Amino acid sequence: MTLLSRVVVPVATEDDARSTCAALEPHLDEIEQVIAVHVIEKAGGGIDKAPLEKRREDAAEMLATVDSLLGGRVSVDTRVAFGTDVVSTLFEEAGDANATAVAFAPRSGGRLVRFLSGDTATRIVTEAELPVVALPRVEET
Amino acid sequence: MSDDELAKDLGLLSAMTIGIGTMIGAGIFVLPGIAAQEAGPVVVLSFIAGGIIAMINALSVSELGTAMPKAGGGYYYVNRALGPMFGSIAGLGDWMGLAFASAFYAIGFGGYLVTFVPLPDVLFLSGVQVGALLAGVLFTAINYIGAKETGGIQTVIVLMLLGILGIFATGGALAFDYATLSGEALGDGQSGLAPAATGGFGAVFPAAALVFVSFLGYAKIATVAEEMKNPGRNLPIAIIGSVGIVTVIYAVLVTVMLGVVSWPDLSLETPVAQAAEVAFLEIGTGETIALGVASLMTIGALLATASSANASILSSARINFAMGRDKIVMPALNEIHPQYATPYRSILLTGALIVVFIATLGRDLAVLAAAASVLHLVVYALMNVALIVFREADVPEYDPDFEVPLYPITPILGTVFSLGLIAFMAPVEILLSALFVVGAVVWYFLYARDQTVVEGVLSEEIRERGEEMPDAVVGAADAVAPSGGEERPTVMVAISNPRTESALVTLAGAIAQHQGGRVLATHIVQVPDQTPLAVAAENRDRIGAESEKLLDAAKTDAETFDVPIETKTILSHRGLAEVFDAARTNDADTVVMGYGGARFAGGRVEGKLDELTHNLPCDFLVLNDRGFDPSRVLLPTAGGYSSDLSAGVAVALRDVLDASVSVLYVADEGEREAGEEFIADWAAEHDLSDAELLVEEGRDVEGAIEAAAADRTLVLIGATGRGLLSRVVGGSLAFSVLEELDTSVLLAERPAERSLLERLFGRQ
Repeated sequence: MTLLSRVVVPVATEDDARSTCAALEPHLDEIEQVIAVHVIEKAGGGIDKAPLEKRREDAAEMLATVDSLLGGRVSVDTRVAFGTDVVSTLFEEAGDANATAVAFAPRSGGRLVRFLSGDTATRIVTEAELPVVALPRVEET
Repeated sequence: MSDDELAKDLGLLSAMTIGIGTMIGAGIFVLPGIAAQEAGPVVVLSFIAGGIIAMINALSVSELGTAMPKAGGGYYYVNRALGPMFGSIAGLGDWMGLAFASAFYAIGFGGYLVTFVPLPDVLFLSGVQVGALLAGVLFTAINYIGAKETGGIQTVIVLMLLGILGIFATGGALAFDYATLSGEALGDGQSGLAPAATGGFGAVFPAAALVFVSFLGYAKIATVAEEMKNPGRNLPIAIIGSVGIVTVIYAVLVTVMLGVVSWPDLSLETPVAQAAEVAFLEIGTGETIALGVASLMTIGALLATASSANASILSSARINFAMGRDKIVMPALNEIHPQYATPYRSILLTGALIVVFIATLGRDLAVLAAAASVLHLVVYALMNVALIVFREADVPEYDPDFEVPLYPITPILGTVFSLGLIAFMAPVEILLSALFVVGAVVWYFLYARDQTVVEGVLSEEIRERGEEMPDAVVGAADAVAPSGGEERPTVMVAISNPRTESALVTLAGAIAQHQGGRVLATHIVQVPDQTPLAVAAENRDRIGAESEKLLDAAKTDAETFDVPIETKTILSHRGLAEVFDAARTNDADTVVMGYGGARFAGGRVEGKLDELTHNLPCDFLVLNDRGFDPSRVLLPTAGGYSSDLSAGVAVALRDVLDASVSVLYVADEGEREAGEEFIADWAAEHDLSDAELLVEEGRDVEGAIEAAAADRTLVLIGATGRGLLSRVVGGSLAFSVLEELDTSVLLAERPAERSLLERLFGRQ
């Protein structure tokens, strides 16, 4: 049992799915199972900011990407989670999955964008309920 | 809680507040002044008339919404029922209507804003327009960034608004004076409840056309139906309830307003603030309180118009999404922003429209109101027709939890009233709406027709019942039917591994070339069960290299044929069911697949398989490949429906691959001559006169086939009974021919009847 044995990997977009998989590449021999999670932010009783069906379709695609990129090497589980708060939903999902850690490749973005989008990367670290591993981004070939 | 419950978190109260919040913004805070100029005190009747028309439409929307709780609302229903041409009108109409309505709300917002912050005129824009533009840009920006909004906020805003309006109603009722309402002090022509100056009671309906914009909120509930908890119950209550509540609020509050301030004096921009100030002064609260209440009304108006505009922008993103999915507009419009997770392109475009409408038409609030109303009325009229089509076509999938009372009277009245109200608009507004409809149809023919594949229930009915219908009607239905992906017969080949790829593609290519069709090569990738619902990955390069290699090989193999080939990787954990789905989605006419793949995939869904294969979406050819060589084909037949297909395939193999075909008929003992006659006729009928004709006598059909197959390379069997495929694939039928022959076997099964709605609803 190592830190990355059962690792939860948050995936935000299709591109994020690819770069996260690339970043996980060097560590695959430590990993038994990758649990890729995409959290769809809900308005909790208001109108969602994006059509739900579209978010679900996109989620299925990006999770399938993770599965197709890593599925041959390690066991891959994929989940779509819904919650009003992306970060706490992510940790809830990780708890359900008995994960050993959360690993993510922080996405770039200026301060303004981070501020406006809620700065998920910082919150994952500061509100961690499990060990959190920040993966260095690998240039894709 | 299950994921689905978490995903659908819009409760009854929230849904109701979306409706109420969107509607009262316009009706109470913005319109009464202008509407009163149109009709005098009887404008109250105009609001009630608008409410009744809205209520009839609300009943229809409720039925359609519970039958199809999908994103997109009106567009979705019209497109499914009446086809993409009317779908284009409804979708673009709903979208533009929402943009006009948002511009209208923004102008209302600007009108109240200038009472707080004096804004200068800029270039050709009035101060109100400047305020409206600021609001329009702000609402667009908020939705672009996807400000964290929780359901609580909308509910709180609406409750606050109701509270504010309650204060107004109380003060207004105390200051209410019937003499003011009936205009006793006014001059000739302006006095009375239905003053001559505005055209007496005749002005009620033209004013109703104007105020109809204040009822546009209820349909927005339907556009977010997919997010609702228990839509079967909550959707009708929310829609009908919100229309009922706002109609009562309008009737009461407008009466109060006109009993406080005489109609010719009612403010055009800020009627509620003005009436509140007058009312509270009159009941002797002193100037400070009266001004305070007026300011409170202004705050309420800003909140109300802002939430109306906001809900409209969110709602328009749903309509865009639904249209994009059917390819009526570019799907790329619905791309989700990587950081903000919002449909930013759709929101930007809608925002741009709103800004343009404010800048060009914002000086006259009535024009924006009319434009929004007329477009929505067109959509509502089409929606009522859609409801009738769904009911009359007896669509099995159409099973609403809520049904309109008094069918067919209700939807007919809905159509007539919606169109009737348009007739009360100014000629220039009618002309513009006609131009819009023409524009939407032009859009359909220039862009959408080649893209979309969804055909409506109506035109399917007409085209399927071609012989019973007048030629002109069929011709018209053909002329407007979608052409996207339907120009050539599609032969879909489901490839599962490199071993059988070449054989399957060769078969598919030969059939496609013979029919003048195209080949669609699909690789269905089985993914683990935990992976969420399978999705067709449009970009091949997203998936592993294996898939790419396989499909490239397919392309190369298909090149020998004179047919276009398309390739697609589909991720699924559902195996055979996915093949069926893909056949439906891609509107395939023939599916070619391997026996091994079918059997393997089939084993996993034993229970459902039977159901599936009894309901084939199109012709199916299943190849049991033992070294594919189509040079000498054996075609056993007993005549009948399914053998038409196997004969067609044999002809294709003969014409395209120079196969020699032998037809085998097993006659009863002593019936050889009758058998020979039958087989000769049958061969001639099926364009196989040049084939070698074999007739065997006896009962051992399988033995005969086996013997004849010995020096042939491919046995082509038409599945004679429905469900044969199912039993073979499922392994329950010991069809020894398939198992024991050394030659390859191609099993052909044609669906008994391709049902009309499968193609329509099969997409989901």
